[in-house]
Amino acid sequence: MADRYLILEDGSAYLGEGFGSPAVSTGEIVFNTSMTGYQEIITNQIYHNQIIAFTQPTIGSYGINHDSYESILPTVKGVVVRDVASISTNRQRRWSLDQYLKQQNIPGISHIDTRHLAKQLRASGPMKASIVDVADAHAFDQLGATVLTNRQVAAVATPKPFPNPGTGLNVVVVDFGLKHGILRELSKRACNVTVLPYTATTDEIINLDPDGVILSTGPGKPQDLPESVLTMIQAIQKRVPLFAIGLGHELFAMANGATIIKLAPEHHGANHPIREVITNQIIYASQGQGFAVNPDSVDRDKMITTFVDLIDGTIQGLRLRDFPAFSVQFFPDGAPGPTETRDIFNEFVESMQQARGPMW
Amino acid sequence: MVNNQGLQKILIIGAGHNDIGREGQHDAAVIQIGAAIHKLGIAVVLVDNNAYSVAAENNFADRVYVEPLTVAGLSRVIEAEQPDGLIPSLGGLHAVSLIQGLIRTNVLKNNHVRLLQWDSEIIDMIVNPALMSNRLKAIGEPVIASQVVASDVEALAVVRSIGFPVIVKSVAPRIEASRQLCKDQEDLARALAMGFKVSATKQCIVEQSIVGCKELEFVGVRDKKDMALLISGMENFDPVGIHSADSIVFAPTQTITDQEYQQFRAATLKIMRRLRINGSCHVQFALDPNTQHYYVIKVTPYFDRAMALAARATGYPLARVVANLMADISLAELKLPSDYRKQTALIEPVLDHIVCRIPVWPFNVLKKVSHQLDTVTESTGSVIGIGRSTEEALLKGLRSTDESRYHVIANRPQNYSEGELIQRLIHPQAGRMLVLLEALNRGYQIDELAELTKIDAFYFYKLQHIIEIEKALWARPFDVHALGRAKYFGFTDEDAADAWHTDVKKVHQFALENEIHATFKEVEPTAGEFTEQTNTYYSTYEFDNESQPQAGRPVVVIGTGANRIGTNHGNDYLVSQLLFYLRKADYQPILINANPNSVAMTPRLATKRYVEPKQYSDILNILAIEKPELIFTTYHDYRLGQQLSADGYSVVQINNNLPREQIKTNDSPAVEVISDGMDVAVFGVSEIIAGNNLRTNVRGSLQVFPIRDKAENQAIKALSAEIKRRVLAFGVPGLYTVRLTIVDDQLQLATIEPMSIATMALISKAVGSSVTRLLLHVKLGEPLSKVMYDYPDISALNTVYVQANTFPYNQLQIYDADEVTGEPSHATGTVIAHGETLKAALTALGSGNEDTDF
Repeated sequence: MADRYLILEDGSAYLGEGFGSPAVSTGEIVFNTSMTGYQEIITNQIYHNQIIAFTQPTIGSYGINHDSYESILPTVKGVVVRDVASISTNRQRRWSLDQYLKQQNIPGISHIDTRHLAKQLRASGPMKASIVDVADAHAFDQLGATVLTNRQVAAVATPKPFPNPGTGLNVVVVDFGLKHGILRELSKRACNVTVLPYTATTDEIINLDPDGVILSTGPGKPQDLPESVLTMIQAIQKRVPLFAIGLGHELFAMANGATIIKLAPEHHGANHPIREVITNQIIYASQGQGFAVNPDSVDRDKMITTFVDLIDGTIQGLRLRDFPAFSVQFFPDGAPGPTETRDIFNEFVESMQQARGPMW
Repeated sequence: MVNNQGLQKILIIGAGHNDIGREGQHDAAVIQIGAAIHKLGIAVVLVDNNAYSVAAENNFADRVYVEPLTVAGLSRVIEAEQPDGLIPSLGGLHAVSLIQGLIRTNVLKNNHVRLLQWDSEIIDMIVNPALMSNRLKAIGEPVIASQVVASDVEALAVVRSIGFPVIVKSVAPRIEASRQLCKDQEDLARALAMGFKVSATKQCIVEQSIVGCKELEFVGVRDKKDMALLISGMENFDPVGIHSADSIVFAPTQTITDQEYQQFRAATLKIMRRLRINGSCHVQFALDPNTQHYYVIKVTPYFDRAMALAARATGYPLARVVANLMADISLAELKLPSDYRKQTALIEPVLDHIVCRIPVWPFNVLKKVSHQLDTVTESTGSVIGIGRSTEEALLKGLRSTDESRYHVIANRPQNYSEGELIQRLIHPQAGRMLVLLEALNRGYQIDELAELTKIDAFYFYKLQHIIEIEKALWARPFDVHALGRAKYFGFTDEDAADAWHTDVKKVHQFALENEIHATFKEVEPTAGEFTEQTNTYYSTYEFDNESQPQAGRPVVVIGTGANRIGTNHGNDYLVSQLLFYLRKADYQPILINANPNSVAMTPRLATKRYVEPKQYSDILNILAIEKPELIFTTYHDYRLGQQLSADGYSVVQINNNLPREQIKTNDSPAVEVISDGMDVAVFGVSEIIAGNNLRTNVRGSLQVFPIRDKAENQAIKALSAEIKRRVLAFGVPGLYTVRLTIVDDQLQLATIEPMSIATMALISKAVGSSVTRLLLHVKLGEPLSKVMYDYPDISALNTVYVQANTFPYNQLQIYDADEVTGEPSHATGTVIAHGETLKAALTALGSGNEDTDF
């Protein structure tokens, strides 16, 4: 395999070996400490326009599985790892990670001192980075000149509504860069789901007569989304049970008067203890966030904090006092990561049942 | 921090003598847990009869009883000490069955001793796996079909319903008994006979065989408030059917998907919660790779090899955390030393390295042991290799076994016939890595090999890669890229020297000139996300080096490495004591060791640890950073020590080992002495008694100290001038044993040899003060007057100590009289006991050891 370089905005360069697509690409580099689930991570749309560095040293060890996609078309800008196993041992011996990344036009680079890289990013926070063939002044100039888009949601969310039929409760999912795990959990609970674009208006949502609404996960900075999204949330949360996840959680907080802060470094992994405030129990969850709700900005008369990350103190969950609307910053569906948080979907189902009344 | 239950004194039952499956891991846990509990203001009482227990010396416990591990012996201690609590998880299975006895005889109840960590039903479930199995079924965890039987007829009835193959294991075994795989009636009859014999209830369990599934091991911790987290998931290279102690094991898991991993994580935490286990727990699973269906094979809530591996692999402070949990302090409340980030106990460990554990075998010593790998444990110990790729971890692990040169053998064809090769692939034997490499070399396809061996194809891709790298190395002498790549994936200068028909030093020099440097990375539980200081490092060939030279007065101590039978059993005790006393003497000891079960790896013994193989080039890489004042080597690394000495390092070689040969017939007295090179001091007289003079089933010999026979002592006194002259003629400061013989009714000097480690342990335990400390100080050049001034007076002792080696013959199923000899070189452990008279001491030695191979 060919020598390639990972170059960073601060002028540092790492020599490695290319795999996947030979394309040159640029994105914001973040590190993920998950021990398992490389396929789920690579296909999660929250990483749109980002380059993911895995601290877990070997990835690719079973290839690509048919049931581990978190989106159909991944849009990460690169995969950085110490060691890649370009093999396939899944049921049909179908795709190796290398083949898959080639197919999806995503470059990967291996033989990187990812431990050093993680320590560097821990100190600097996310930086722009490129995977290139030559680490010369030109490459650094290009990297410096690249302006990363702030329209990530528009790039990955569905432009058109689509259904995920079921026989139970009627749920509308507003798509900001939907992670498949959300649909999987709703399917397990027999929900009849309609996925709408993030531009959906209150009327478009309510016209579908939903029992509840989910605001999905997604990439990027919540402030970059149009104001109309917040207005929609403000209207919906008073009408039907609402469950907001990830980017959806950040938007839900903003719609209720909170402000958002950028995290440096970003946090991607599943190892932090998270305290559930009401029970005082500690849980673990799949986390991937570059932003967090500013705790000082939360209107305590209106909202209560339900989950807190004990390591960095970030708010991991909120709930409205007056309406059946709540949110979590982490990914309650896991995939990859702990599954103990999947019960939160039951809570959502229960709140929908309660809202519908005794008929259910 | 005040503990939540008003505990003032707790009792720990030690694991007893080492044997197969019991290396130092229990003693290491006792040291750490005892110390952490002591820090909480709780007094620690330890009972153990292991002569090589490091925890039983050096004031690690507030009170130590060297007493028989029997219900009666423990009852006496409990009555005398009146502890508030009993820790059940540090003495292995044997301690658990003793606690069952203490509960049944109401000793705990009558003395108001609370069983810490577990409900008492856990004890019954551990002793009787059928109860555990029923309980797991009741909480909805899948288990394999099994039934308890009391006769061959009943067993056959079970087999008729579930079919061969089946596994047979003993109910309430009095020794750590094996699981036997039976493929036909003949196997079954043999397994039942053995199983009934060792069962306290004369029962066996017959269960469905799941041979060929993947085997996974998960370790978690849980506190009284029901908070639980996963410490590590580990994966066996070999499929179910090969005992996990005999299998190569990787941490973290290598081939399973997130869905599979999360299912095991969730099951582990659920089991701990539903069984209300307070502390750590090891759960073994079998995974059918075709259906993703799993079974829980075994739940082990007491300290074992997997917990030791999980702690070493992740750098998570497991023992310290568990010590707090034992005192009912929760995970959220407990405090760690400042080396760790504040909430490290709550962070689920993540790794950015790979750890590979590889078993070592007794075959070089015991020729009659079957080399077939199956459900019977045969390995005597293990080593770990840590690296940043699967290849590197595997190759470093293989090198640490220092058994054979696996790594270059791939290019030296084995001359098996095709049929023989296939047989060996299907019926795995110890050291099978060579067979797998040979098959790949002969062009067997990976899918075909995965099917034959039930080893995941992933590993064959990795082995294939190793062969490719090695071929490139052979083809391109003194090529920077070939060498760089080979080292990046775990090869070493020695491999290149072999391939290039040259000298290691030349390769080492060539590598350095071309800027191929080893870099060291910390073994810590957050994958670089946070700053943690575990002071434990491993090497790899990357960009960033994290290991800075140790400040103060650094000394490097080369550890024991793999635990083997005989020749180095006890050496780990010696190394641990050296580390402890070096630190006391204000040195900063740096340990090089790759044995995860070693007591010496206990964090508080050495200031800094390198988990590395002990090949010359590996050592040079470490010395280049540390530049130590001194290097300590023990007996097994004599040649390495000589080589380093020739390179100009100051090396202190400690050559105390085992008695050279077995004394079979005559009882032989010996004078135990210490010399600083100028003067000699006598500890006292010991005697070796040939075992068959005592009892016919004692094959080894026993050692007694001190001998208080007046006439004998006087006769020896008369020889003291000659003893001194002869010892000084040796010229080297150290501990010596001067053997005497009786010629014409007269005592005469026979031989002088370095005091055996067994004798060092015996004297230290008898006197209650370590002779290793004395050895260290005379080796450092201090005079006897300074070294010995505070050593207790042995002539004041009014107790006789005896110790005996223990052997693995039953465990390894060796019944051949030629091999069952009781030579010191077959020993796996040593038991110690004492009494007012020799007879009382011998009785104490025998009690609780009715099934021990002496």
